[in-house]
Amino acid sequence: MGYFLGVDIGSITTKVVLLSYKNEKIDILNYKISNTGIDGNNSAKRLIDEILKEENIDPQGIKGIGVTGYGRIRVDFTDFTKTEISCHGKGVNFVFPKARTILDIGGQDSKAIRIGERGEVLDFAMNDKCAAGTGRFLEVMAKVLEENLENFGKIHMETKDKVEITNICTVFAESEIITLLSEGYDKNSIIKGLNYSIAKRAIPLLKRVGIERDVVMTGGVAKNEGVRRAIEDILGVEIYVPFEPQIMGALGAGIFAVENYKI
Amino acid sequence: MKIDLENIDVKRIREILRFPLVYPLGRIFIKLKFRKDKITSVSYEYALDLVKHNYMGKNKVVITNILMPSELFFALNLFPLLPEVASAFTASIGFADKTLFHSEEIIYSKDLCSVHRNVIGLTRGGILPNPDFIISTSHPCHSALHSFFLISQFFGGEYLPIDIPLKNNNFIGYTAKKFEELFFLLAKKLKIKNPIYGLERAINYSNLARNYLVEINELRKKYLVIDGKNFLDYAGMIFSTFGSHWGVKFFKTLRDEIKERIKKKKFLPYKKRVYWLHLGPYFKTDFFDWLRSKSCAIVFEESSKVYWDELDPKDPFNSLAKKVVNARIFSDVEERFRLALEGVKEYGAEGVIIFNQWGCRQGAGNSYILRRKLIEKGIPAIVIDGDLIDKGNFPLEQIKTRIEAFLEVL
Repeated sequence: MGYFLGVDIGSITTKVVLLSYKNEKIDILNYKISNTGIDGNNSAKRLIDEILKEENIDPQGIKGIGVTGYGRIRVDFTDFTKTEISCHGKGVNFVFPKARTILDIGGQDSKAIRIGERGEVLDFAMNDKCAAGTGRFLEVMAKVLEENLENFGKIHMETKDKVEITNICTVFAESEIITLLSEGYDKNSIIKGLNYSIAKRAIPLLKRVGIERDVVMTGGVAKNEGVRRAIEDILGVEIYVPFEPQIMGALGAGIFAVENYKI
Repeated sequence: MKIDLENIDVKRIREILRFPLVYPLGRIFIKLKFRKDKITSVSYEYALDLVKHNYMGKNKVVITNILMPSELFFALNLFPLLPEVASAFTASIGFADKTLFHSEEIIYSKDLCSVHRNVIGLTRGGILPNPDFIISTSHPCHSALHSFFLISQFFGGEYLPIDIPLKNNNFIGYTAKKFEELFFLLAKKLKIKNPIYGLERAINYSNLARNYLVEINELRKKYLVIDGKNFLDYAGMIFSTFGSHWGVKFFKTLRDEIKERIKKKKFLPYKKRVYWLHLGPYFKTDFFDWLRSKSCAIVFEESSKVYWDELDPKDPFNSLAKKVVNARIFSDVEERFRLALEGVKEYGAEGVIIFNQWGCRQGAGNSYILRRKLIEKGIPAIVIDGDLIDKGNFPLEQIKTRIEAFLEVL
């Protein structure tokens, strides 16, 4: 019996997953998500402390920690790191063993990953060098629209029409939305249009790596049911979303830590 | 001593460069400073000679582009100045921020290739000398034709574009004729009698340098003693020095150094071996150190490939035409694919990194096709969208993540 931690320090949020490993079986015991802030290393350590206290586990009992995400290179509590691409493959494979394609849309990047039977990465593609088509894009738009981002999914499902958003640049799209609002377009139709805009940025990435069923969506944007539905609508493929789509990278990092310990 | 690049007085430096004493003193300084690094010493001595020829105001100045045969110029005692190479050099010393800024006074679009934006900036900022002749081929990229034309419009110099046709029935003969016409036109303008003797000398120097490079590439198939990152830096010497004694000296020194390292068993450790397509970032970055820290070695790179046969001194223009038209290294997708397959096999690479220069029309157009074709052959490949000169177009952390994931896949 041993405990392992997986940590994903992303641009917006930090995720920590606590795993137990016993008789060749891995179980998720607990997880936590918090804003990364300006110090990813400390955010991760704070979450680790909280999770260990909640589970009443002595830090000495932790057999291994795996770290991923953009903040992985600046942590001082482990030197075992993996890229978020490999970690998402591993994490999704744990939850959906039949998954072969992953779409991960996080705060500052989006990526499509094709994986094999063991969650190994076969190919991947990432977004261009800008925030278009990422969580940050939706955050900025939510602010302009004075709408809570968490409502984007519900609004999408309840709204029939959508307004096409033509600009992919976050700054230009912001101006476009202000113009659309001033022209009297319905806010909810704009929100639906934004979800489709994200979907249209993501689909070429998926096609670049090749879409193979099952397709799983991860990252914070996967919580927006509107984006998921928009992708399903355009692709005609069912998209699965894990119970907590934001922790798949951390989960993968934790599983890698277990595998590393076994070696 | 740290030089304040931001407030550098270019005019004053240009005045200093007119003093003959600068050059022997400079040579002594280089020899002392790099006494333990013969390769760098030779390349800097060559650069000093290049500056001497082009900045003292006693010789005609010819500006030309990469892949234009430098042999034609060395034959006429001209010291060709390649703005693309100067562009990379200024980036490497941290000066490109300033020169790119200058370029925006004329060309503001950052979507253009930074190498050529920087070329304009170098001229605008008075760093490049005002040329007498500006000669550009249409191959490997069309950007040179346009940026060089712009230089001639703003700063004078006779603009002589050379059209390199795509493969057709007589493309070698056509190109050879163009080179011949250019050569004798320049000889006439420079009042050089019997220029063909100089061409014979240049061809012989070119062949000697070529054969050293062939030997180097053969040694690299068996031994990893110098990382490909260094060879990306040596690309400037490949483009600039063939036809001169400097080319012979540089590649002989490099060959000797490699042999010495092999003899002393100074092999580089590695876990992953990659083949590099196109050139790499020349501005100051920890990217290549980071790549080495991941135990990844660049075992060969597109720019070092010797794709031409020995030149025939009795048929120089046809030989040079074949050398240029067969150089499809940065443009022709089928040829790049063939060379990459060959390189991966010969140098035992596990994967290919394709560097995609921002604003490079022909490069950006085929990088992803190239990647797909390599993957279809079972060779892992990744495209890195970056920049050779402008660090603003090189998102380091994102690129590191992509490369690291790629190495995990290998």
